[in-house]
Amino acid sequence: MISLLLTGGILLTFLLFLRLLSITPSINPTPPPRRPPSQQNPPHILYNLGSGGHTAELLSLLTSTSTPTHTHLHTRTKRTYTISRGDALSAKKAFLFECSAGSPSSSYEILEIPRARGIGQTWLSTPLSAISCLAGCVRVFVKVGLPDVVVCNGPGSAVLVAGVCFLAKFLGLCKTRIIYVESFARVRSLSLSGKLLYAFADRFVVQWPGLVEKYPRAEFHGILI
Amino acid sequence: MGTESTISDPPSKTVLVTTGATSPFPSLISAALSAPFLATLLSLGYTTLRIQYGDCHELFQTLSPAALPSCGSIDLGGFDFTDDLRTEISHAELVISHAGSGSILDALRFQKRLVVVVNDALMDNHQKELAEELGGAGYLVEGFVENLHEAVIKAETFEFKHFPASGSEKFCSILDEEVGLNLD
Repeated sequence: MISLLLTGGILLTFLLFLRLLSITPSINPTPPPRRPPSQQNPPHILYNLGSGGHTAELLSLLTSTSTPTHTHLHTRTKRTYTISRGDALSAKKAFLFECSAGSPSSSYEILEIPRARGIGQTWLSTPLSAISCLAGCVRVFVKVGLPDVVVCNGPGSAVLVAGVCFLAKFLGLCKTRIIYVESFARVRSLSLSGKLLYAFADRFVVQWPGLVEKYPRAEFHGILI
Repeated sequence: MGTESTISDPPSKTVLVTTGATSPFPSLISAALSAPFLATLLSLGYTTLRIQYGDCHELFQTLSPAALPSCGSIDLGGFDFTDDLRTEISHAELVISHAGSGSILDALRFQKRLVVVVNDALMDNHQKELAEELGGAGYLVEGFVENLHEAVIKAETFEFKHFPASGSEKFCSILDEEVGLNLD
């Protein structure tokens, strides 16, 4: 009986391990989906805004969505912006960005999640706030649904937002594509968020060529912001 | 050539010093109000000095009266924070900035003469790497609080390399691939 359970346990672990391998982009990269024009539901993009510099960089990456080649990224998608709790400036910037694109307010949402880690916060209390941030992420996904694409850069919340999406992918709930863009400020080393998400992002983009030598999965296409 | 300037309206030449919004940078403020720095500005014909001092309001208030005699004809002004640093940058001939990527990028996009001073008081200083890399590429001049005036003299004649425009177009193509909206 015990040996049967043991065998079952080992088998299950093995299968879960295989599942993990099959969805981890660094081990088994998969091509992006092709959505037919007739698809009813618009694809859902989640932009994770940090505060200050991270928000500015992410919105700067998106300036070309206003050009004719890329306007469908506004007009034919549903968008969610996640901001850190109390970061009114990032909320305002996201709102103004959508206004300047002329989007109807029904096509996007700006939602708060608790901070993953405050500046200067001790590492001891970090797990607690990380759990509260995690719960906040789950609440966001319950409200707006799991995204088809996540775009994030360096802030701590990126790890949790992308991490929850990856877990949902593991459970077969979604096929979210994760795009990580390392900050322009990172010349020779990745940020902690970058290091943690390196294996799990479908696209890992850096803005300095030296990083590609150290991190072969990274893509470099010049300075993008 | 075509511009007409009268004697009553001398051309202004502004230098903007910015310490950023996140961390105080008192040594840069002290350097920007030091006698050798101000003497250099005067000799190079600068007429206005604007200092964004952030949380260091008291330091600025303490040092600026002492600096006034050295200022000569230079119009000295300061402010703590602004929503619109880009406008301040656009009015300046020379920008002296902390090494924050946002301020650096703003100054470079306006194609301004740029001196960047790394704040050595910051831990895990990847800002230093950014300043060195951009300095090595000829986009900016690295300065140090101990002898800021030397960097200003260098910047006056330095041939700054033209900084590329935004690569957002490329990023949107990546995003397009991943969203997978088939438009053809």
